[in-house]
Amino acid sequence: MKQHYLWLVAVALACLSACNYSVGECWVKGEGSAGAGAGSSTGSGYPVLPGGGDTGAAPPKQPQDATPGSPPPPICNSIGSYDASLFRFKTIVADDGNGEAGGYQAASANVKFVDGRQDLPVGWSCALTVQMPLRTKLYGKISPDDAAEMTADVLTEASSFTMHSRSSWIQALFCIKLAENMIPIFEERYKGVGPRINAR
Amino acid sequence: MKHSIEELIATAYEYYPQEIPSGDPRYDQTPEVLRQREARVRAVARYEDWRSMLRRLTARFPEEQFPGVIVQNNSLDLEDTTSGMLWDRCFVGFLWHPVHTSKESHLSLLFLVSFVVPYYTIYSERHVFNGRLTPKGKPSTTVERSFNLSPDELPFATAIEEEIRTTFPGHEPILPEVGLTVVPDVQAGNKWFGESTIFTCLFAHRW
Repeated sequence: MKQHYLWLVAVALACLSACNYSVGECWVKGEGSAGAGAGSSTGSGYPVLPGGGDTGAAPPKQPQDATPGSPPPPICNSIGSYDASLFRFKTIVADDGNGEAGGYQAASANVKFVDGRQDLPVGWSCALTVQMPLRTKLYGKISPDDAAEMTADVLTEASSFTMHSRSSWIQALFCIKLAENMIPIFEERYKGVGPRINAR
Repeated sequence: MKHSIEELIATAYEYYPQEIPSGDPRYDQTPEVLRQREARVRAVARYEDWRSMLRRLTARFPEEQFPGVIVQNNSLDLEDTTSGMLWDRCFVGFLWHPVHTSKESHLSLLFLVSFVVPYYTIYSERHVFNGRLTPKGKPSTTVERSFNLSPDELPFATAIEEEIRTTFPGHEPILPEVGLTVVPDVQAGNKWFGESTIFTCLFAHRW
């Protein structure tokens, strides 16, 4: 299976070759570094369910958080994203055309991550499986290409958010949290699709 | 309620192995996970009942009278025994309704009917704009869950409850504080050890 490395690889390389800064020092554009929004947000700027966030997480840093005179960290979300071609959806339950929704499709991919914030970059992978209907009442027909585009879009944002919600990770926990974080982002962006997401 | 918290936790242990994460190679072949498969087969046998219930619910809220109210089946994977993951131990439905203010992006009632214990739950989810942007520059939202339904939501919740009780006789509402009780030493769905609750284990992975 085609394996993809995220922007984190680029961040890791940038960290090793071009700059000298502390763990977690990368800026996420457009996100607040202080104070949480409404409800139970962890301050990440992403949809977070009550109790579902990592309360021990430090929020991503902003450019204004920089120490005067120090070299700026890289902007960690400005480098690349997941490609939809990673996800090849196949029908697992045919749509019988009855009712306002039907059918089911699934795709699996082995997604690699590298945490370049550590002294020695740490890498791991998650076996990600995404399933969703072929047709829903709110969204209409969902082609395999549509499903792949949605999944790549949500994965890109969820992976950034998940990675930066802790200063370090163990693989199993990261994968679980990645899947957990993908669901509310999916629901916000693609209302009514109702995917099932698993990452191990 | 018919069961104590201890009894429900004991039931959760029937479906989730203790101290084994889902990524462990042994996980899928544990007796507990095999029981999830058996439960899923039984649930598939009741799928048509669930779908009929949703049709009746839809008919109670015709679009002409209730613009923006949409009933969604989120258990399409239970149509067939060969599809789907083993996470949900309940049927899941949404009733979307129009937002009240420009601060909200989505409003819905969710209703979960367990097929491993005789309980159901109904709660609301609001996606609320939080004033921040995602890295891609899109408005960011926070999801708020509540078991305390607003006066606007109560008529819908009452209708949902009536249909659940008709379709699944013997089911009763689970107390939120019971559902939110942590089941020690298991990793269920997308919840890590120490986070998995009775809701996660006996209802849906989204908890």
